[in-house]
Amino acid sequence: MSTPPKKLRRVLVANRGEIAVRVIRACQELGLETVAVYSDVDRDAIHARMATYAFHIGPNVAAESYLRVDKLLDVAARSGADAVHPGYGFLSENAGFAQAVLDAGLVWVGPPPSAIEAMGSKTRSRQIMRAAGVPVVPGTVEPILEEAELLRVANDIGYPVMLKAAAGGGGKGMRRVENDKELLRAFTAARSEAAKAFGDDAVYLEKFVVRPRHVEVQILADAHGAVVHLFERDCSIQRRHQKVVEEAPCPVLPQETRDAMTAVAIEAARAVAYEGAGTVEFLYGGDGNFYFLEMNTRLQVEHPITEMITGVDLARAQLRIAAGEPLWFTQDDLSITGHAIECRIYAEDPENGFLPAPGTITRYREPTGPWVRVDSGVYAGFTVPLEYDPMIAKLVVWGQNRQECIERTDRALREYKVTGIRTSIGFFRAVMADPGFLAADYTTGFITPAFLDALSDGGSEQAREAAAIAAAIAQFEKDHKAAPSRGGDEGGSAWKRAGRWRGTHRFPR
Amino acid sequence: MTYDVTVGERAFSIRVDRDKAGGWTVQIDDGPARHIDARSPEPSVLSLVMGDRSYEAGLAPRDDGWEVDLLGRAYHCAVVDPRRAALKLGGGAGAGAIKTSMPGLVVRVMVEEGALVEEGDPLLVLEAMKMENEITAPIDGRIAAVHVAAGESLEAGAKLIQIDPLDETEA
Repeated sequence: MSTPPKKLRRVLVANRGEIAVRVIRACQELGLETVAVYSDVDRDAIHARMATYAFHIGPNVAAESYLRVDKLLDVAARSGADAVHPGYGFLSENAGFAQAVLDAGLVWVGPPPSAIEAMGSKTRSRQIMRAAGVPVVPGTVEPILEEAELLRVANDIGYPVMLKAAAGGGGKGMRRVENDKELLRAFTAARSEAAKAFGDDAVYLEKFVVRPRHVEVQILADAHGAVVHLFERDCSIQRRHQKVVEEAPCPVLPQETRDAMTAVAIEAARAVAYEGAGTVEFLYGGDGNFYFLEMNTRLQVEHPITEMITGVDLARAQLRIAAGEPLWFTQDDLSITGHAIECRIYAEDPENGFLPAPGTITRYREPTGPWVRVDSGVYAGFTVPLEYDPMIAKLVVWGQNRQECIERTDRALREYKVTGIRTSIGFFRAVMADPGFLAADYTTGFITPAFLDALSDGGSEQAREAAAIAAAIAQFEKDHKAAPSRGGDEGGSAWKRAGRWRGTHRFPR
Repeated sequence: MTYDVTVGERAFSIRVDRDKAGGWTVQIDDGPARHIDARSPEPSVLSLVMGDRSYEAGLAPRDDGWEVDLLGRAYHCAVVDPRRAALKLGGGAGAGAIKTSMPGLVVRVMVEEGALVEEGDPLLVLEAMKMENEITAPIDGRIAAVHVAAGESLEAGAKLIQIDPLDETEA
């Protein structure tokens, strides 16, 4: 009934950072050659170094490099790639790019452009789901273009409301708003952010559901009509409406709700003739009801926790499905084993309003040991660019049950050493120790101002004293360094500085 | 050698000297002198053994001292050599001097020199790592200086805007 699987040989990975590394790993395991692309600032990035081929595609600004369809297609042609994997973010949910890849005679590692288009607009996907009888959160279905209409709708639904980018994801262009004045100001900012992040400034309004959790279902569909789900993830721990900690399975989901939710997710995938890996997101309210939020037509950042509890490698599955292979397992072959947690390690300062903290990493040591996985794209000496997303790595931990998983995650966080930039590692340790998190009693409002205040005045007197002593000793070393070995210290390569430093056991200026 | 080290709101006076055994003698404030074994086994790392406790500190230099990460937390340690500090002139611009604590790109500037602002009024928008951040006025006052323009890339610590509080005659 359909064509036999194609033989892939060389995959263009149209992304950067840790997700590019993740995809390259899957390709390498499958014996596929890889083609990396990099902007000016990413020449030294790991993805550009580990791929079989690497092509420069322009300046740092994503709009002139990673978002340039023409440049990516040119690299695909010049490199002889036969497939394109978009990763997540950038062009991963851009139907025009998917279509252009197909038109160039290449394999698109993702769903058909028609499915991306149907689900890519949050307003359109909500229309489709409403038509299919799936519950959705009260709000507008059409994008809102004018201020007068915006105010009318917000007052109809009643504050608080959520303002969201129609083409959005990852919390960009999304704001909770309490009154008319805030709404008008947020409208301008959200549209501007949405235009910059997604090239589309359409926004819509939604009722804010009380005590919500964010629960999502992973699905896989092949090109031959088979669709399976790989259970759910709970992604309720968020800052700025962006996920920071995820766990699988959801610790509070009754089995009958899981059954209903996964069935709806499969329906959603079928409704748009989905292929590949996708995620159907729901708001799970405090009253036990769940509402369709959106479908993400790509791999998710948090996909590894599903891999950990099911044993299915989703990136490999994407490549095999894209090549036309029928699914090699059925729903009955899948089950949940143990528990998994992911912490997104961001280059940002949780003690200072999660402000981005780009800069040079001077020391980097990842945790290892039993059941600890780190997907990262950085190393000691790497400068985290300010042009891109601040996520530098993902810590993924498996345990036989939730308690063991939390204890192991905390252990791994203790081992995780990053010097030179601030990161969210200490924040995650506070999450792992939080009574509400331990009891699995939390919502998307978990991170409160009080939680953050406790974070910044935490730290024992003993630890503060040890830090002060370390600083004083480092300062003494710096002040007493012999003059001759210090010449031209600001220039020179990181390599030379590190060498000198190792040799002298002293600290650089 | 004695340093004034400030960690958050806690100020330490720390005397550090190398001792004959190759370790360190450290005295905090008026406390007893302690022997500390401090080594740098790898770049940017100081391993401290104090008494029986082992601490591992990561150290990154900053303009005014060191950023120290220890037990999963980051501590900004401002270090001052009191003898040098005595030579420097004091003086600060106070609450009306607005700086950025992160590197970023100026997207928009909404105020001009001479404009009157109220606390909470938007002043400018900074973008870093794809997020727009609105900077608002911390006090009521008059814009005395705008140090940046749209399109400009900024380092952390860059001056943005100076607001002078209003004189009573103007209020």
